[in-house]
Amino acid sequence: MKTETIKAVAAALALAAFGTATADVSCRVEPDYSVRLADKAGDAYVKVTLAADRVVAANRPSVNLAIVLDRSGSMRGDKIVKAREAACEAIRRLDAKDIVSVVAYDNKSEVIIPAQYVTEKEALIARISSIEPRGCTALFDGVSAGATELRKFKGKCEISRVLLLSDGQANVGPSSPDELGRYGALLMKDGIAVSTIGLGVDYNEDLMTRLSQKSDGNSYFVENSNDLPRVFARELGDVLSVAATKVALKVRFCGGFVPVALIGRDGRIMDGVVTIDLNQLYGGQEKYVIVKCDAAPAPAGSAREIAKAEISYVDPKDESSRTVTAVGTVSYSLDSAAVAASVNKGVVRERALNENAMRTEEALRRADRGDYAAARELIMMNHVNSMQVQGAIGVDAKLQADAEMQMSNSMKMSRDSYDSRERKKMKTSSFQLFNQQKLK
Amino acid sequence: MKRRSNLPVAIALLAIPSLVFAWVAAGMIAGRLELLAERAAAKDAALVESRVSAGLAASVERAKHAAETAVASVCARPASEALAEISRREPYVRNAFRWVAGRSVTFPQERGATQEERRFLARYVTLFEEGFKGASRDFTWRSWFEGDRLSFVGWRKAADGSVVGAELETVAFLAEFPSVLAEAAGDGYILELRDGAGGSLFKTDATPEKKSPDAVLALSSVLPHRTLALWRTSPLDSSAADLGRLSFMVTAGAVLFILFAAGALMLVVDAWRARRDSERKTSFVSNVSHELKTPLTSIRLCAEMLSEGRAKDEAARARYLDVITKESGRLTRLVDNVLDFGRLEQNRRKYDLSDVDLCDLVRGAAESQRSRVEAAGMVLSVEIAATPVVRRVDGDAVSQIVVNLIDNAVKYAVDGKQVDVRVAADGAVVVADRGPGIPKRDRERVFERFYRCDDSLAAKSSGSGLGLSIARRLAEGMGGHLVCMARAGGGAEFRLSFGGDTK
Repeated sequence: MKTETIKAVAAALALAAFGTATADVSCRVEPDYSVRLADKAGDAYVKVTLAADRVVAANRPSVNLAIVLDRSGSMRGDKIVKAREAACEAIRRLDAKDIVSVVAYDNKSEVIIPAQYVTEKEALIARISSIEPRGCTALFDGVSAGATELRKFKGKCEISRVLLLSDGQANVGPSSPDELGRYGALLMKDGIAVSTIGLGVDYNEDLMTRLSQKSDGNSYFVENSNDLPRVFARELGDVLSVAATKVALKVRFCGGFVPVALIGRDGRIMDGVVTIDLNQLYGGQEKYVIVKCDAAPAPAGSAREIAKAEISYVDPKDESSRTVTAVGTVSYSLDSAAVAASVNKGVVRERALNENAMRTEEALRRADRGDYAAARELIMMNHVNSMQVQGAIGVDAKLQADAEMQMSNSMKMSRDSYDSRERKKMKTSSFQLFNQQKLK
Repeated sequence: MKRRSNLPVAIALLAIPSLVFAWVAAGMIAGRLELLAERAAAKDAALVESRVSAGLAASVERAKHAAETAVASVCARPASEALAEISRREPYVRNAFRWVAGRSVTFPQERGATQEERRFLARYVTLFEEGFKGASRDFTWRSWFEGDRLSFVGWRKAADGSVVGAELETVAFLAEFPSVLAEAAGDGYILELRDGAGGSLFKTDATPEKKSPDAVLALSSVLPHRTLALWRTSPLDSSAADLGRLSFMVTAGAVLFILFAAGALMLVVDAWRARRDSERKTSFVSNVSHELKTPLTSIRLCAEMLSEGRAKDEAARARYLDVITKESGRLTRLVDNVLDFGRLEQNRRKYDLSDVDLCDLVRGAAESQRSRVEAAGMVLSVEIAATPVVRRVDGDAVSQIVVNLIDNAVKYAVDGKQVDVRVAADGAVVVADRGPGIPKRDRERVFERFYRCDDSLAAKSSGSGLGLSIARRLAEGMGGHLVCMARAGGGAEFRLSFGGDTK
């Protein structure tokens, strides 16, 4: 009896510990329909969501930030002025517990401010004003110099981030989206995320978004340099509110549900287990993955577990490793009205939006090759999809907005109106959707 | 009379050898420096190559070592999860794989793989088809090209007999290359890493657009199909540059020294010449004054005697009148000479060239002087051939030359008692005497204006020092030559020739 008591107390304590952990980061496993038609095989879409509470400012983790600025000749004029202003603004928002470095690159990179604690803000800001535009765009070199600065204080800060600004094509050093994407993946292994800010209409959005995507950073398209300080502030807001780092999601599907594809995200499916790595989760942010499954038939009245999700992450506040889990269930019925009523609108909507974004990417590829008719058709399919899904689940504001946007985008798929600016808008917006970038 | 300055000519004459010297020296130095530069370049290029190769090799080795360690850690039980974990965590590993004989690749599997893994399988499809014959517990590495993209793949045998391996993440060491290149480049070089097609992978700075690289080095020992282009930013290494500067300074110094020394010498010569000229002018003025004064005095005395009626008899009167006539002639010659000289000095003398028989001309001129020569107690012999010798000359000038030469003989060779005038078979006009002769060192200088051989002979006789000078100038003005030589058997011989021109 005594041992029973001890066990119970231990269990309670464990639960309590578990409970505090779940207060920060939580997880949900939701099928598109929580009631499925019995005795029938079919596709099931399961959304696994990670969410983090808002981070209290006083309690935020320390940040190691590398600001990498394009100073190539094309930055002349207002662009460099605003970029300097934005970098200064970012430094003003940091504290003495944070580390900052500033790298400027043209033909090659130059470390303007070596990685150091933000103790003398004004001295740092003064050094930024020395950055003048010149030369070419050695983007890769700039990012790798930024990463080198971050590594100097490896382990000293909870969050490492490269903030890359570019207004041009990378024309020195490795410059394919593939290589930059791989570099992003490599940095993510080191816990470094690269957020990219594309300025103006001449930068290479494929390269910038790939770098962000593979390192789990954010990506922005800033058309007017006046918006730079605001975007820097927003990005820094994200960085300063990181609630979890080294986030790894493992979704183990139960018998009867075989994962076959991921919608919108890249990840591995192996032996019925979906694994996805994320660099971090911001306070107040939700990230998710939608998994398409082959569902086996089941008798009416039965209930099943679909999958068990396990999120492991590091809490930046105290560097402790934590885990949260969640389980999703589904029941079976012969009543199709009950099935229809069990719809999870959020899951269906996000699936539709992700599918649309994938089609948009394909449309951009077609349009890049000059096949505007095919591109327009794909975008129109997006519009139709958004409208049809609303027919199934009822009017939805987000889908309605998407349908309208798709309609307007389809108009742009012609030789005359498809330009760099529109392409950047579409590319950035699909990226932001895939990555569930926080948009305020 | 204004003396013509020959300073610019002298400077030009001095500058030419100086410049030639400088040019030759510069050429030699440039050649030497080029050689040194080439040697330095070869040495430096080798040094840079070894530094870059070592740096890059270290990067690649580090990556290989990390991959080998990671793969070794799963060899005991090569489960898919463990392999997935390698590519998930190890920055130097792009993909890990497991291959089983008979089953081909068991990880990653096409179905459910990430985008990257799917591309990995496509990239190495031939490798997997080929199989891994000869795989052992030791790692085997191979470089792999997909188009021009280079990657490295390595494998070994695991405990269960399957083959496990890893593909290196080339971007990981690409990211390290800029610092390797920057370090190897230092301040003296711009380095550019190029792919097989010559495309730029990295450069340490903006490469010169118009200049091809100073060297292109193969890095095949480390990175197959990659080359390193090298530009030197400081043209030479310091020792060669120092030598270059030193050589330049020595050459410049030598040239300056020559110019200064020559300039100083010219100033000295000029000063000496100016003094000599002024002395000569002074002696010319006093000579001419004396020359003028002597006949004038005689003329005046004779004229006074005649006017005062002191000459009692007819013979005395005739003698006085003869003196006046002779002395007037002397005065006229003198004044003519001075005027001629002035014209010659200013190049105002016009030559009226025409075909003339030298024999007639010379005979006439010589005969006109016969009375003077004989009056001085000398014998004038004129030997002239009967056949005419026709030359295109100014007859008056030739006559004057002959007169001046005879006059010269009368003045300075009176002791020789003999003046010979002849026209040689080659058309040269020769005036020779049996006087003391002219020392060899003075044979050219006698033709200089105001020059008179400064010896007792010159001191004894009066003269302006212009006669020979005028004679030579006239000869040259007509395109002829007048030279002075020693006469066989003693005496001086002046030879006027017209270059065999028989028009």
